[in-house]
Amino acid sequence: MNNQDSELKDFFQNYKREIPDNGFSEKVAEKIRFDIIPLWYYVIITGSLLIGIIILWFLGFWKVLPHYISSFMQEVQNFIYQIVPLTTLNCYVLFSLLSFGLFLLLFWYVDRIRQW
Amino acid sequence: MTNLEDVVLIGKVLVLGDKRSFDQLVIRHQSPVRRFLLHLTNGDEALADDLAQETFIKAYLHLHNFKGISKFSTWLYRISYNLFYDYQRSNKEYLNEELEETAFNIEVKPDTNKELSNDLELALSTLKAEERAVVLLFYMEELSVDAISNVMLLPVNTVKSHLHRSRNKMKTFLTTHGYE
Repeated sequence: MNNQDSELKDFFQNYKREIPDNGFSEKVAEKIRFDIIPLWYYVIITGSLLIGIIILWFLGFWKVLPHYISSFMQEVQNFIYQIVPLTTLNCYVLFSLLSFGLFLLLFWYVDRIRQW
Repeated sequence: MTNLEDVVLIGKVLVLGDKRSFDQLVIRHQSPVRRFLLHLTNGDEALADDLAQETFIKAYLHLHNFKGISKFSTWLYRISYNLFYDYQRSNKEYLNEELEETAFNIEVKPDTNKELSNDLELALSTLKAEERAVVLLFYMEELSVDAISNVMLLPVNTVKSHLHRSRNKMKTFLTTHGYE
């Protein structure tokens, strides 16, 4: 039984061959991209954003936007000052962390776009 | 091809959403999966590639279900076998006709390797699809009986009896074709 097994195994191993990729993996990657996030998804998202911006434009939202942003940033600043006493060293540390965080975010975003 | 490298790549896909790591997994495993499907479909390259493509897409979509208990390759064989099984069930008449045609249309050429491959293909075509899958996984892909039972969701004893029956059928076929 074992002898027969090894003979058959040898027989199969002699015939066994590697199948070259020949663009197969690229086809799979392309199909995954379009199967998971089809183009119409981006068209709808971008379209909705554009329509939203146009509506806001007509409602005069842009005139009050700077005020909203500045009051929001003021809230954030007050929150940080409450938990971290404002010293020069803390300012450096916070600034470095923020820059690093922004850099990571930017890197991740660019990487995702590059993959797409 | 180590399991650890596969696990690292899977982790990158799941945690970082890194599609390139999945591309690496496809490159690493495409050959055995396509070879298995190619023999399972009796040499129908287009069908085998379609099924292999679906295998990897399904693997990507359900990667979070891979628990790492078995090897990643075993999990891929399981997906590909299930896809082949579904295909066979939905195209039973068509497939049976096609397999018969393939089995009878293979030309025997004087080249030794070709002769060997043709004889092997003919020997495989004498087996039922389930037996063929067991034989291919055991002898060509070198999976253990336990792993095969995991791939095909069959009891270990059924796998063993499939192997025994297939071995006898192939032995009879190969002996009548001049092999000792």
